[in-house]
Amino acid sequence: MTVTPAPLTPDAILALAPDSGSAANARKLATPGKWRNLNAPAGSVWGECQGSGKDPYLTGVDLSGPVGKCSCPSRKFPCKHALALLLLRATHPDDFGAAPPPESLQTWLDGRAARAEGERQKAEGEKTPAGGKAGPDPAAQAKRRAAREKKVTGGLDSLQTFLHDLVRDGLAQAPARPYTDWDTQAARLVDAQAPGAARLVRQIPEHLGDPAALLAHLARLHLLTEAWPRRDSLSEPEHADLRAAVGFPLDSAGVLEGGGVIAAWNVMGQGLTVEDTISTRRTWLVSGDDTALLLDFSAGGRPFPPALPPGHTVRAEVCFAPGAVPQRALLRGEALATPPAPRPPSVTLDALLDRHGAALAANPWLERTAHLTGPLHVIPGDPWHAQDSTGRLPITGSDRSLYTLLALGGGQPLPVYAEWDGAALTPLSVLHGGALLPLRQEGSE
Amino acid sequence: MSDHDQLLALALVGTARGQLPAPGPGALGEAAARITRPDAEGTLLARAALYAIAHAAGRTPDPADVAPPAPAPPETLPEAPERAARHLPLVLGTPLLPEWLALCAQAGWRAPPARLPELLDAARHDGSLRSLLIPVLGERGAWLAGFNPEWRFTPGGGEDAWDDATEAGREALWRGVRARDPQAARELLAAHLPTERAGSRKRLLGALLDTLTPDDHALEPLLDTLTTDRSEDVRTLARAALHRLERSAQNARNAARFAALVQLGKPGLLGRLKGETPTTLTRPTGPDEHAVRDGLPDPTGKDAMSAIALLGHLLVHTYPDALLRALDIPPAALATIAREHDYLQALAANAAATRHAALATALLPHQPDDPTLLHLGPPETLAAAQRHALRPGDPERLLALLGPQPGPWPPELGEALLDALQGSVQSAHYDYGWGYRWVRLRDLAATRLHPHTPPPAPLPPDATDYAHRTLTELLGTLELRKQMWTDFGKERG
Repeated sequence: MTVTPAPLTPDAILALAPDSGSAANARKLATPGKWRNLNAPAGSVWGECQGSGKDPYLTGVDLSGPVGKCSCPSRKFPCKHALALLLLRATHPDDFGAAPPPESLQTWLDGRAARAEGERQKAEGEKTPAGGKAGPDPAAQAKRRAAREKKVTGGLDSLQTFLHDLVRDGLAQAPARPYTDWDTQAARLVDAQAPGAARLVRQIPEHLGDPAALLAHLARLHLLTEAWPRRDSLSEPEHADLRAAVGFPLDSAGVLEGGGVIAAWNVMGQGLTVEDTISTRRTWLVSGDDTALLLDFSAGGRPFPPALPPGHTVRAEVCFAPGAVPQRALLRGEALATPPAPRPPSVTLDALLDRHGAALAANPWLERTAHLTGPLHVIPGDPWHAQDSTGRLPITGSDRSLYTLLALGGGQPLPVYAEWDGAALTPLSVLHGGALLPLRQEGSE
Repeated sequence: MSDHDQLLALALVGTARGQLPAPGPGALGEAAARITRPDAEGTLLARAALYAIAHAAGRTPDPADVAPPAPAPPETLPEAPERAARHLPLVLGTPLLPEWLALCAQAGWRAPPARLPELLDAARHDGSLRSLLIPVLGERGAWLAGFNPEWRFTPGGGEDAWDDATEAGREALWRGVRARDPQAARELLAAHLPTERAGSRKRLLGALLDTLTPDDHALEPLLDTLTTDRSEDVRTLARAALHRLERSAQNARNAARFAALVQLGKPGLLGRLKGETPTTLTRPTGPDEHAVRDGLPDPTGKDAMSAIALLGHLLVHTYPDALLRALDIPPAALATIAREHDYLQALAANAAATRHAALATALLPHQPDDPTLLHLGPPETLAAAQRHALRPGDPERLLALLGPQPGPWPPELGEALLDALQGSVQSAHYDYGWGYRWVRLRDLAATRLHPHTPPPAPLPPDATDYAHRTLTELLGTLELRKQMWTDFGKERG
């Protein structure tokens, strides 16, 4: 029953950390001297780590996740002890015995195994999930929904007036406007419960130096204000795309209830964006022709939920949110480590743009798509470029990630998994020596 | 002007000041013509949205008109195997990185390409890592560094790199070349030093002094010209370099002056018993044509002082062997002369500057506690002094005696230090409570103890949590280093 998955590399382990502090602390703890009873029975590892108190912490990791359990008080998952245990397993394999874990851990492991077995059987059995739970009062829900839609209508109406004013006065005047103009407009949209539109308004100042980009950005905002009053004429997936662009939250329960695709998913790459105080982690999963985007958020420096190991394969049920281009998705249940699955074929830059264009034709608000592309030459410069036989595109990202691409290739082209946002490629991982290596997005530790 | 450009032109001046342009022919123009709104602003924005999305969706790659960089040359060293490389993510940014780099160089391996940007950045911020990194960069690392001006300290920069570099950059560049090819570094210095600015001359001479070897005798003519440089700092540094080049003309002149200045007397009975020789000084009579360039004290200043001042200068600034040959005396006699005239410190400074073991050994009976002399003198004497300092657990003295000693320390010394650390930490509750000298000794121990140093007996039960944590961490670091040594195929050597 127990499948021991491919061991994780130190880099993949550190990429699981919920924040950079955990990664740094885990590195410090990853020496055998700080541990007692290091053991690696089949499918799991466990050990006892001397913390600041008298009693050591008991830490165990079920390698099928990898999911950790630790007696430490940390509320981060996985905690630094679980990460350190995995790092130790990678660097000091000889220090591990094979003793079974203490009862408390064994119970937890057995419970996980039983649940996994249950889910597997359920998945093999009936496909439709049980929908027996009592939903909230539909009448009250409809009322709330109507109230919100009214607010959004008001907010987008005034946004349209604002855009018309901008164009009547001439965009040449726009850079002279005080910053408060954009902020006020964005704040109004937040009040109107249209945070997606507010975000786009906050991005306007970035484009003030480039008239063509400014007009394109304002035009897309305008498209939002024109589409909203006509939303009843849209198909259901188009309507969902519009609502997502305006900033309606995803109906997670509904998405999960709809069921998903159970398959072996390649964790192709992880991207990180920080806007104001909110960090967004994007995880791209690929299985066959399907690409799924998982989003995790961290506000005010709170840790991210556990990440999936980049470059590895997980078996998971992925439920796509409705949309003309299925992309955003949620995981139903747990992702379990599984033997490597075939990776998607690599496409040329030209084909990448074709695919992006096709997606954009279906969902004009789509921000980015991701593709395995290349092999690409990376060319340093300002900006850097990626080039193949079909042409070249600007490539961006942290200096660390760009120089790592250059170092790995040594002047030879390499296939790269990258996001395309209409302006530049952002490399997330690189295929080198048969392995998919994650590229760090931050400049340094 | 395309439809889109016409639309953009109107958007810039404002719809209040112009007419909406009529879309041209073609599918996009026809589609745009079908978009009309009651107001010009709405029409303009709606058509702009069509163009923006059509452009984004219809974009093709830019022409590939820039040649990719020339590929890196083939490697000459094997890449560090996975078992050794796996430690890198854990030691990067820690005090253990220098040891990883040194082990990698000793094994004759190079760092994995994926880690090169991180390593080069680390060496950019910490100059002391550069000479350790350069041997393990491989061809790929040297090639990669050429793409980032901040990595110019690596070999392969070339002439352009020198011209473009700042003063600090030139020093870094020179140090890089020096670590790889001393002869090339000498040529670089000879080519550039005469035309550098004073600040740069100072930096480069400082870097030369840090790495001076007897082979640098070839640089003597250059250094000679610098003894009359406009900058006093440059003159001083040039003389310091000539001082440390045993066969330099400056040392020869100083030796001749020494022979003329010092006359050995006949020792009396007491003197013979104590092994002493009285000396008399004769101050020079004639003018010394090289006095100024050799930096001699001014003899016309205070007459009474000049002979003794000259002795002091010669004892500090002349290579010891030149002094010994000048009077044909053993190092012990030179030490006696210095003591007689109260110049023991000065002579010790000379021994330290020239790293002269025999002179240091001769000076030790007079200054048995001087840590610098102990480090130059016989290892047994140093070891005895260290043992002596360990017993009472005198952290200040221990720091002075252990600080300059490179690792890995002999296991007996390491064991005794671990015992001393353990003994003193037991009742401490935090770093400040323990004392910064002990904390520094602990940090030294973490990187310089031999990784196979046997661990001390467990702490007593009443030891503080801080003591437990401190020792666990220290021993943990040793474990990690032991594993690293094993993975680099270095068992006990």
